[in-house]
Order: sequence, then C-alpha cells, then structure tokens
Amino acid sequence: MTAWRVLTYQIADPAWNMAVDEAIFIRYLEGISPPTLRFYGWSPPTLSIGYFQDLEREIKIDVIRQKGYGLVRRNTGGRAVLHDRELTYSVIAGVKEGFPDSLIESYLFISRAFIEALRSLGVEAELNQGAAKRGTTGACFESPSWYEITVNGRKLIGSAQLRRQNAFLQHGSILIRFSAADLGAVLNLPDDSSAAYMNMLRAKICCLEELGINLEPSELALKISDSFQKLYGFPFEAGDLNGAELELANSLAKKKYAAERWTYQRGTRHNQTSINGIQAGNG
Amino acid sequence: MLPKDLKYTTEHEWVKIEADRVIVGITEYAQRELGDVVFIDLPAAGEKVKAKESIATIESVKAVSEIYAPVSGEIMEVNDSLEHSPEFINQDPYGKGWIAIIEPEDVKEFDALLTPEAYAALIGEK
Repeated sequence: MTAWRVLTYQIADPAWNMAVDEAIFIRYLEGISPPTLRFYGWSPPTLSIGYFQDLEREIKIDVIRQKGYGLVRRNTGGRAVLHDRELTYSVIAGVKEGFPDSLIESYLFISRAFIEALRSLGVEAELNQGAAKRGTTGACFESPSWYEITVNGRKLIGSAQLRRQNAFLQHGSILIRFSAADLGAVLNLPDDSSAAYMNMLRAKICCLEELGINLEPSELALKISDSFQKLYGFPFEAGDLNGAELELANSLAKKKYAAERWTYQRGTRHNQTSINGIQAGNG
Repeated sequence: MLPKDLKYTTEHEWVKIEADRVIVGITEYAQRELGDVVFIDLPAAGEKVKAKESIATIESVKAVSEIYAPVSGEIMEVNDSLEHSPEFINQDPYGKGWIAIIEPEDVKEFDALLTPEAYAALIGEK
C-alpha cells in the first residue's frame, strides 16, 4: 500500500496556498509526488472564490480591500469561502491509490475520515446525502451538497474538487468560528434583504466553537490525520514539499495566483491552458 | 440504460459516429456524478484538437472537470445553447446536452473507443 504524505499545518499567503495545491496535483499527475493530505491556514484572512465565479458581479471587492482581506481564485469549483478562523485541508490522490474513478467515492473517502475525527471530539456529524443543487448566491457554505458534512443539518465543512485524468485535488474548509456578518459583508446579495440573508446563513452553517470545541487549527489537523490513518490503515507520514513541487509552486504563485488576470477573469479553458503553459514550462 | 448506437470513452464521454463527423457529449453516469452543471467553457469552431486532450471545461456544483476529445480532428460545431442552459447536460445528456461535433482526422482512432458493453462494465452497470 502506498504511503501517503501529510503536510502539517502551515500558514501562508493566498497565492502560495493555492499554488502549492496545484503544484502537488501536477507533480502527482506526472508521477513525481505521492498522494498527499495537506493542512494550512491563511494570512491575511482570505476570500477564495471558485474557478468560474464572476468576481465583480458576486463579490464586494471594495469591502475586501477595506478589511485587508486577501482575495484569490481557486482552480476548483464551488463558491466563495472566507478563510478566517478555520482549517483548510487538501487531498491529492487518484485511481493509483485504488479510488474508483468516481467523484462521489472520493468525496466519501474524505468525508468518512472527517466524521471519524469529529466523533473523537464528541460531535455527531452526518454525511449529507441530498442532491447537489445550484445555490442562488455566491456563498459556498450556503447549501450542503451530497456527501458533505453537516451537524443537525447545518454545514460544517465545505469542499470543492478539480478532476483530471482519473485523479483529483479536493480542498475545503472546516469552520472553527463562523461570522455570518463577516461573510455576508463581502457578498453581493441578490436583493436588499441582507438581514434575512444573514439569518439564513446562521441557520444553515455551524462551526466547531458553537459545538463547544475549542481547538487550534494545528490540533484539529492532527486529529484528522489520525482519523485517516485509523480508518484506512495505510501509513500517513509527515513530509515536506519536494524540489519539483517547490519550483512549480513558486512559479504558479507569482505568475498565476497573484496575478490580476487570473483573479479577475472568470476561468476559461484558454486562460487556464496558457497560464499553465507558462508556469509549468509545458510540463 | 446505455444507448447501444454510441461508443464511449473511459473518461465518460459518449461518441456518436456519423458519416463524416462525430458528436460528443458526456454520459448519463457522468452527469449524475457531477450533480447540477452550472457552467461550461466550450471550444471554438475551427479549433484543431488531439485525442485525449481537453476540449471543454465543465463546472458542476462541486467539481471542475475536463472533457476530452475522443478522437483527433477539427471542431465543426459546438452546442452554444449550453452557455445559457448548461442544465441540458443534466436533463438530456444524450440529446440537447451534446457538446461538440468533430470532423475526425483518422478513423483508425475509433478502434480505441469503448463499446456499450465495455463501458457498462467500466461503470459497473449491467
């Protein structure tokens, strides 16, 4: 059984965080990197938006600037997430690790480990099995989709995926503390009913502090990697980024994720291809 | 049930082979896995594509994934209606949800496509 690498909790800037996830994924596809479970945090607190989100229509960019938040476009799907008091994780793996070539199965693999970790903290979380439906506004946590993790029907962990060649990158956010006001403040809401919208967010989203769990992100990360190991039995070993990943991440951070062209333009296939071409040196 | 008159790929595209062109879309299985499709970035007519290279990027509520060209050739036509109604892919993946028409370069590449039986085995359907 292949050993998985665990990259332990580190805080970094938004462009670096996204560049590292993509660099690992590309090197994994090239056969250079092992399957990986990574944990990280954000400085400054950052709003990440989905690959295809329309930034200027959906997000209040001026509020982001005023508050000093970072802003980055992910290369995964899904909607806006405010990374403030939370733990972000990523998983890079594929059929080589014995995953069926299935989006749902890969979500399940990861979700089960989270449920196990939450149970060890005394939280009875559930896998949401409802259908994945379109939401109406820009917030990721607004609507739980299938196999995401909820507590009493309220979403605790929001996740998104990128799939290529029978492999996937999934990353997501586990809320330690949640403020509907902070998230609502950066979203362009469909009408003037922002008070009602905040109430809806509060009703649909929960966080660990509210459930009586007060853990630092790094402690929570350890609980989760323990659960993966316990549940699946194969080794999860602490490691570091390799040279090939670091080189690519440096380039991706500078030329892609920190670049306005990437952040402001809604993802297009040509945009993605040409940017990747520059950074990856065509492989 | 899988349509018997189509060929398939391991990446869950379906391919309808006609006299001098092939029509491409994603399978019922693929649309069910993805959940609601919210956006698709289509290729341009006239573009040259190679087999197994990305021709479109599709976003569902939970994932961004690529759609690959089943064969090499030139994009003759794309289904522009998907720009406004990406839900056609969920509602009617083998019909209104078609994605592109390709003029194939080399019919020998058809040999690499899967029969309905082989694709059914891949996705575990009987």
